[in-house]
Amino acid sequence: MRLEAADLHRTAADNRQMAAIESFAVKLENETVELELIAKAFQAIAKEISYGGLADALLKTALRHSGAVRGAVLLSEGGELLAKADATFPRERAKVFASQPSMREFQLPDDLSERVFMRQETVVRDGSRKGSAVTDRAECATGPDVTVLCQPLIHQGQTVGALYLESEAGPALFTPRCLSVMSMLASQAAVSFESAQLFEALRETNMWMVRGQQIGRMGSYRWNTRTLLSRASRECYRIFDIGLDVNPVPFEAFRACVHPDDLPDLEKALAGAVSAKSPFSHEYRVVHRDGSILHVVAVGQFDLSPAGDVELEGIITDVTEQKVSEQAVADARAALARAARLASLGELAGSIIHEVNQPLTAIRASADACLRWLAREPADTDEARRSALRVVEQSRRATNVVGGLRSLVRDSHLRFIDVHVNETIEEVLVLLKRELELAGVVLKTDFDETLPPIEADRVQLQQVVLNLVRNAIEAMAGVDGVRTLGISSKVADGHVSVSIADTGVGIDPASAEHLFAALYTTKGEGLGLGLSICRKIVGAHGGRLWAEKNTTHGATFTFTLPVRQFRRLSGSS
Amino acid sequence: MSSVFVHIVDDDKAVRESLGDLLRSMNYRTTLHGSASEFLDVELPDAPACLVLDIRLPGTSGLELQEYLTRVNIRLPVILITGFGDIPMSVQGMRAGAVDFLTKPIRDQDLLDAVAAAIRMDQHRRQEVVQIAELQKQYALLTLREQQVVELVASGLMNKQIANELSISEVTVKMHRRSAKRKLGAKSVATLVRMVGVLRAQKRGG
Repeated sequence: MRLEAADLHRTAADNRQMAAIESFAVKLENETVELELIAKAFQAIAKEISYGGLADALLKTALRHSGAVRGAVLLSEGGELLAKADATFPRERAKVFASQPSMREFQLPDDLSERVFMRQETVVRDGSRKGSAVTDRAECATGPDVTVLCQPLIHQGQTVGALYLESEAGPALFTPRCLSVMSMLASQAAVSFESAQLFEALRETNMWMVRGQQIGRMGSYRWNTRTLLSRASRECYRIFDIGLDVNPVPFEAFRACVHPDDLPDLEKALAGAVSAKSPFSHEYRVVHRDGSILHVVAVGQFDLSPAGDVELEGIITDVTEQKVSEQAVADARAALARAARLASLGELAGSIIHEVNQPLTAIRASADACLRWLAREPADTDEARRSALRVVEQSRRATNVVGGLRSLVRDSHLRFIDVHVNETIEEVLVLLKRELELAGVVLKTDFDETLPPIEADRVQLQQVVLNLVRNAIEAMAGVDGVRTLGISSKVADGHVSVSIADTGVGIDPASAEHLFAALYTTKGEGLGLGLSICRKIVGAHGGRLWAEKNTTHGATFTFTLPVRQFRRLSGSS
Repeated sequence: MSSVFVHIVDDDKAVRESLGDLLRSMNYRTTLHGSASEFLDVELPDAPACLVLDIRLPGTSGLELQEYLTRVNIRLPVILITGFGDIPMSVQGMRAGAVDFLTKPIRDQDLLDAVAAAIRMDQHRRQEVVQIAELQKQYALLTLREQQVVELVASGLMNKQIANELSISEVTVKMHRRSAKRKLGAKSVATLVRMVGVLRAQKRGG
């Protein structure tokens, strides 16, 4: 504008017009400067998003622009002014939001408040210093008279507050131009107050959400499946221990937080959910920079972003504390189950021992008697013979007891139904999840998805898997380095075979067969029944169970089960 | 074959027969019973004996039988046979006066030792019973006056006091005393006093 004015000056030919043009240019220049100042003031006011800041900005701009010495900005209490401003406002509820000098009380003369607030008039009037609303009465005895400007702040026809200014330079200061600028500022401010209120409400809502998420240890996120960037709430940053400056969060930064053991499954679950657009839910662990581990549950559902990208939106909950208490409960339950198992095994063992002990007692006594009959002078061979016969008879009885135990496992307890081997194993693995975690064992499964259902006793089969997996975990307990449990299934020749491989201490080839003998144990607290029972169960299904030493380290236990139980048709095997 | 009996109560036929076999080879006479009631049904021979009793019996248990015998004053030494996990019951049995308990399977020497000890106890007890019976028989031969005098002597009274007590002369007291000592076969006053003590205990005991 100023350059244009200068060009105008240079290109002007008519000298007579010069003065007028010059005067116009000066005026224009003044107005331009003023407009720029006003624009800046508008910006300053519009930029403020809090009541306090807005009132301050309005007051500072008004004081600077008008040259007034004192002033104040009034608003109603509690941010309710826009909704509640009515005839009773503001004498009872007015609040000083900003003032210069700062003050606690603001005493607007009744007539002034009536005119400004009720009639929405802009009032300029001269008065003694006693009439000042912003000066403490004790101090105002002396001093120059003041001119007061009081301007209502009006938004959508309602008075929401007032701008109050005092000048000591007489009424000349508040020129019509000044008043019109003040009026513009006031209306801009009134609009801004509304935005500020909305913003405050938003901030409050947001604060509630942040606090709520903190308390609930729950963060919300939105993951763009195209850009792989995530936006997340503050609580998510805490849960994942990511700096707040990382925004949005790249997928790599997220990946780096996930426990390496859980990452493959998580990525698989994410990929599955993305391709199926199905609701996502997954539990995994997060590792913090200090090494501490959090358990989280992430849930989400798919949604289209405004840009048309597929986004996963959801919530991540930190369930570490729940896990700890769940763990305590699980520990107690496991201890109880172990005790119950031992007790029932104890009972079982007790009755087995009793059953075997009876013939054993008879054998021992008869054998001793036999020797005594023979040791007589002369030997009583008839009696000795009878005793010896009883030994033979009772040995047979003991054998029958053991045979009976075998048939106990083989026949009476098996209930054959169609069983999906993979599912059955997976159910066991769910039960053992915590044990695997605690033992630091990485699970690798390789299931043949084409396995046909087989005829088997599901519970007994799970017993076998449970035993073999527990053994594998125990075999790896004392081993340093990676502990991997590999479980695989396949089908061949009408049999399903399941292999359970560990990276534990392995087995001594010499003891490979002893392993399956009852009461044989290499463990401190074992009863030595586990593997023998496993073998009996598998045998009762018409399958086989064996152990092999792995070429690298550890051992593999494999069992096979026929798909169909022909055994039942062809009689006892 | 001696006339010393071992009664065996065990519900397992093979066990009781083989234990019986073993004991017979040790020169004991045996009777075999499959249950407590079977045992109680037969009349026991009047001979030194002991009872080898399985602690686990169907129906009346070994412990209950032991308790019953004590209650009806059949003082037969009891050897308990226990199996796996019967320790608490064995303890109870020992408290109730069993001579010993043997755990299945039983070592022959243990059974021999236990039975020998039990029989010794029974022989001793039977001897006492015979002695007491003899004593009671002899005591019954005393006149009422002689019994009164003997009782008072056993209570520690002097002849003179006894005379006063019974309002008879001291000489008569001395006469009754001499007569009673002779009839009971007591060589001294001390023996006489002990005999009265045994009789009194017997009367109290049942």
